[in-house]
Amino acid sequence: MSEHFEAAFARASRGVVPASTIVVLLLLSVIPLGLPHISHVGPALSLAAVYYWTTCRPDLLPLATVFGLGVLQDLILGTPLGLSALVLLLASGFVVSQRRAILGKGFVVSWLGFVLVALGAAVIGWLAASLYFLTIVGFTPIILEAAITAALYPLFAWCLGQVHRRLVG
Amino acid sequence: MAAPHERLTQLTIPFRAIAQRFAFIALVGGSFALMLLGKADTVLTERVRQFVADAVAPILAVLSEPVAAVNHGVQTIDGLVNLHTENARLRVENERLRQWQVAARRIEQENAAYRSLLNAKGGESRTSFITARVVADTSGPFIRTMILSAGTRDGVTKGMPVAIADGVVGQIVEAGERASRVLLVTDLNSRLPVLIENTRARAILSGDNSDWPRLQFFANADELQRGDRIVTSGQGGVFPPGLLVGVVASVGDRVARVQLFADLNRLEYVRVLRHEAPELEESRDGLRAPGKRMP
Repeated sequence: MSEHFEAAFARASRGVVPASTIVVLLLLSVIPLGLPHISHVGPALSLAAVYYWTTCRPDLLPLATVFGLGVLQDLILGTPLGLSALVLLLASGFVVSQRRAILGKGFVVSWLGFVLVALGAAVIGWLAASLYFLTIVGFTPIILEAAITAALYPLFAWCLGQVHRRLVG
Repeated sequence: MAAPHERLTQLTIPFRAIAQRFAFIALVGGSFALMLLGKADTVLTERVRQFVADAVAPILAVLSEPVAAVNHGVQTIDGLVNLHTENARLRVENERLRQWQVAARRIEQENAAYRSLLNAKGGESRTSFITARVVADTSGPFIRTMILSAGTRDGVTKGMPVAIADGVVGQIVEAGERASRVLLVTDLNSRLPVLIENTRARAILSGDNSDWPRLQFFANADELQRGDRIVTSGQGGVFPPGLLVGVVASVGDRVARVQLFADLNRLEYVRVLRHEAPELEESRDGLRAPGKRMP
């Protein structure tokens, strides 16, 4: 009985690891670093984490959780409510549909996949924000953010890989 | 024993795929619905945002402590390295400021004399401030905001101007109990009534999510020059007049860009200003005055 309970507890705690890492990254990403220019186009950590977990363990990051995390991100960042939720959902949906093309093909393919997702997310985010604010939002900072996130993806993937191996197995 | 179980799993796969697709479409629809709701019911979304900001502000305050400590360390080392040159610079500046102090005292006395001659009332506005720590820099490509560690319990309310000694920072747009959000002057939605200090020409400083907000709706564009100082006009009564904003960095056709005095990337502590506009009191007096005089 207790073994059964332990197994259930282990499964449940594994289940919250991906969402927890995204919440932690989200909080870390808003800490004022005091570095010029970085804060305004800092990497989109949540997108990188959603990509990582959806490629490796989509069962641990269901769409409803992605939606919830997106809404939380919008509430913390102050971005239009639903904007990050939309971007993260579309990214997650895309990755789920293309998972077979990415998984098991080596890290470079996975990285390239993320470059594509980051670009797509930038374009969708820009379109949605421009529609929301009824004006053309500057595209340069958005594409810069995507480029920084894409360039730093190996680092995030390594960190998330450590968490993945130690806590999820 | 395993065969029927596997068959059942295989049977449910298409249903699960359909359910997942339906969930995806529903959630994407939900995102759009939230965006519409945020646009339509700003009061509700603001309240939810305040609640979340209140909840995460203490966590962020703790998380940002080590970063602040490292920054302080770097600043201390930097200060020690540049001690000599800094000292020399301050000596020169002190000399210049003493001269300014003499000039300011003279002008103050002159002003007081003119005021009494004209019998002017309420010329001085009262401004006090609440010091708050920046616990989160939530600026991104879509929005330029920050979360402060002071809320309604500290006296911060929505609409209050935020500044540092160097210049204007922004305005409080959401005030929770212990945290509040500042809309920076660089944000797309920020509009600040300003004056060009030399010419006293009025203009609007409007942000566009870049580091250099635009100067709009100013008359006599020919008079505007690079290096002109921009101060708040106090129009609208939200910001106190004469608060430093920045200098004109570039002048183009109908649009000029402003370099802000406040370095918005390095904010650690800010002042939330409690400003009472003198104009309002005057007009109230003005309304009451005839009644008083009438016997």
